[in-house]
Amino acid sequence: MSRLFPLFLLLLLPSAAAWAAQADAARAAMQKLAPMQQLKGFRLSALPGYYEGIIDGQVVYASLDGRYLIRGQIEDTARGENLSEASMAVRRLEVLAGVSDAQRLRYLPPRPRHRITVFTDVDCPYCKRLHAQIADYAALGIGIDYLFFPLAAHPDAHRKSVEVWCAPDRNAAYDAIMAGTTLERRQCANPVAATVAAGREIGVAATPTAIGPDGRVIPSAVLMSPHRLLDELNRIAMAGATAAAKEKTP
Amino acid sequence: MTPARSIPFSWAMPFLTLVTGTVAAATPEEIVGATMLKLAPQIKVDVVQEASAPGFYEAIVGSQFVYVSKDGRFVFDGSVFDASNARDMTEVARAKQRQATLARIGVDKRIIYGPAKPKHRVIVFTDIDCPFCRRFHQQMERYNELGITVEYVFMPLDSHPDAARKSMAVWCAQDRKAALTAAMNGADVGNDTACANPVAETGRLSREMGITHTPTVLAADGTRVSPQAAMVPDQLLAELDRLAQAPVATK
Repeated sequence: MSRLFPLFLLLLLPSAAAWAAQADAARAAMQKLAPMQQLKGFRLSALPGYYEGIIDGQVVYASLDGRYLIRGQIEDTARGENLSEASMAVRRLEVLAGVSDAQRLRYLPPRPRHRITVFTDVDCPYCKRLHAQIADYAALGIGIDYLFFPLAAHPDAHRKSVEVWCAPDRNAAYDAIMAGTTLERRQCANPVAATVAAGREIGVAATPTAIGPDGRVIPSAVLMSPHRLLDELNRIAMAGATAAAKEKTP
Repeated sequence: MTPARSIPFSWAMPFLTLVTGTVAAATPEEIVGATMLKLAPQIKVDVVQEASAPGFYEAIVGSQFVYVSKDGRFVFDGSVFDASNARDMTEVARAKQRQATLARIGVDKRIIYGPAKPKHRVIVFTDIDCPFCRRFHQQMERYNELGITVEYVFMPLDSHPDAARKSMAVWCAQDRKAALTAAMNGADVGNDTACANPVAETGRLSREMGITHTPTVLAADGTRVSPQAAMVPDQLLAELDRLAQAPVATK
């Protein structure tokens, strides 16, 4: 065995090297699209003959030799699924997993059944309207984790987010500011820059943007209606359970 | 380099059958047609050709481009880039598609401002009452100095009710170039529109090519130049130099 091992290695080496060279070319081609951004999620794609990666909040595809790049949403007509969106969903969950509970402003219902993450801006009208219904979501068992995402269009939103974070009772401060109250000026260590970076990385551009447990962006009409949201979250939970059961059966 | 060449059916068919196994003797048209039928039954595919992106066909629907994988399973309507020369291959395919229509707008239907030593040629779809068209025209001397010939094609927009009349009046003037410059500077060019002129025809052909805005600047091979680059003479020159390194083949 010990004598055979180097032989195996020799057999493996050329193909591994070729693979690495191809992958490097594909990586470099993607990186050129946005030189200042980090390329994430680089891997062989479900689209045959292509690598995929996520850069600048978008999925891009490169041919195996790295020469051709595809920008656009790939639809898999056999499964009725948008491949690009599926890849983004995986990436969103990864990025959100990197945001700890200590960086979130959490609204937990007494009996939580579902949990969503919402990127919010304290000066955005729809974010206020959403929060005005927070009791309705809680009554249906839906917990909301807010991540601050002050938009450039609202110059005071960043400061106000920090004021909420630094208040003795964050939830009460958020309730108050969303209802139109001005908060006391405060500053302290806060996660706002980190949550903004997380949002940008997964392509968040507007508020409120809600991410479901499957990593998908919840359509705003669904999000704004507590009952429709509950239906959607139940559907997602069912789909997840079915998929898990399928994986277990041999 | 001919990235959007049409498919040699004779060898493509057995090859396809070999690769996919399940697709028995289907032509590219049939494969694309079957897939599009699932997505949008009402649309008519005009052309199916080999795409530059490996493993895909390029389907042209009106002035839209859609890509369908050779097994008919995957579809996208975005763009394909060639990383080796930073060219947008979807735009190259569009340029090829435009060439036939562009050929129908002969030099006798254009107003041409050319330098003594021309290096590049652009075709500019223009509207006398469009502010950016006027700004473009103010820089004519500089474009010419850089060796760029500007060939204007009239495309009066519906949003400018006087533009068609002004275009015709320019065309009917003794000295078209002088009249156009005067009109671009806001001078009254009068109502003498009685001569035979190509204004209606060029407007129609422009729209047929999917051109909706003015100024739209095309390189001689039909490639669209970004308006940001086109409005700055030195940037336009740089862009034309770059495009000239890998021109779109003529059909």
